[in-house]
Amino acid sequence: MELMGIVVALLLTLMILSYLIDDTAVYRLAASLLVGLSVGYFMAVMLWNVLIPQWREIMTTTDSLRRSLLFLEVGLGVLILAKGVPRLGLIGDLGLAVALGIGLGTAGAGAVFGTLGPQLMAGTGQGITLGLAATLLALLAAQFYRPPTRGRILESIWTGIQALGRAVWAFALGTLFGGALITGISLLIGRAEFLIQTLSQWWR
Amino acid sequence: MFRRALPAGLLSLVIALALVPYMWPQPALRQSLTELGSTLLAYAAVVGFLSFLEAHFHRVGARAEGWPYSLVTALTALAFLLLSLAEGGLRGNGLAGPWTGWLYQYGLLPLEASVGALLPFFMVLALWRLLRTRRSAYVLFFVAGVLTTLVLHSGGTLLPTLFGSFYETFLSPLATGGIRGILIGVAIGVVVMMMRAFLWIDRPLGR
Repeated sequence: MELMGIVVALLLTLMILSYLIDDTAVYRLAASLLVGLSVGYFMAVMLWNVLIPQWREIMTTTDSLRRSLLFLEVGLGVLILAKGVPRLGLIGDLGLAVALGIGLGTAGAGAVFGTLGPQLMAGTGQGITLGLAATLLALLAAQFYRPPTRGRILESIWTGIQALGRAVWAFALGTLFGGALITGISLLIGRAEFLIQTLSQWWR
Repeated sequence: MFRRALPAGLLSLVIALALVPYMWPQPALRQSLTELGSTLLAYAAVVGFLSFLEAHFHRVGARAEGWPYSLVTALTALAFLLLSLAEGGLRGNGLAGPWTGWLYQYGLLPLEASVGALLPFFMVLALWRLLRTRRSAYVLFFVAGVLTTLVLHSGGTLLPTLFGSFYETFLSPLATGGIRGILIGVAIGVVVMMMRAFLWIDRPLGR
């Protein structure tokens, strides 16, 4: 079974890497398999890690409060399932409103307490530094604030600040791009290693 | 009016409720909300999965261009899910079954890693196109950022040592500060989005 798996993995790797030669049917077939397997796996994870344990707990729990909460979750879930039927759109919207509300509330609180607070503390904690100046320039370039135009000199100063801010953005995004490139190169090395090792073992 | 006001009102109420555990520590409420959120996400995933299958089988039925790929995609997804259900029915957890594990290890992982391995080619090509089509100072700053990261991670060379102090003094604060500015901007955007939904300025539901 392991040998068969290695053969399959080798074939799939070669099918994907064939894109370097041309966008062929072989590559598209492998890409379709990737999408199908990913969606199927995601759905299986949702089912086995969230839904099925919950249904099992409803049948086994003796705590009435817990059971009520589980029934509420299932009820709201059924409302979301109703979203799939166009006639029951409004009912489905109620379930989605709860899901979206929890998502937005958690994301908003996370943004305030998890990102804004710590990042502002870290940025201003060391006094006036090059890093703080870069942060301010990057924020000013995003145009959250635009001062009223008062003469040519102030306008040109503002334009200069924005240009510097965009330069900071470009440099910071460049470093992130470089990091992603290194990750990709590591994956390429890993795949090349797998191909070379497997083929050299068979060659012997 | 009612059709749009009801989901919007419920949305505002739930946003306020979700914020309560962060203002006034209530571990039980926080845990319940997290559990409710993940459960609803799972139900939304079921709707999404059915819609995914419908869209692909519709393409197959209409013999649209590339329909064989749609057939392969839909059948693979369905087969994986049914296999996990069959194995879970026998053993209790569908993700721990031998065939599901085999498909994950020898199917999904090599495919994902191989697509990731194509990434450097796409990225270098995109960088080359950027350099050819856009001639501005910002592109030079972008390329400088890329080169900085590459030089610092060039293992087995003297470059990181030679370049290190200059990076620590000037470039690292610039990159960290810039990324911090972007993160703060994104966080402000998230808070604004939440406030707009809370105050009914945006009504994403009830259409």
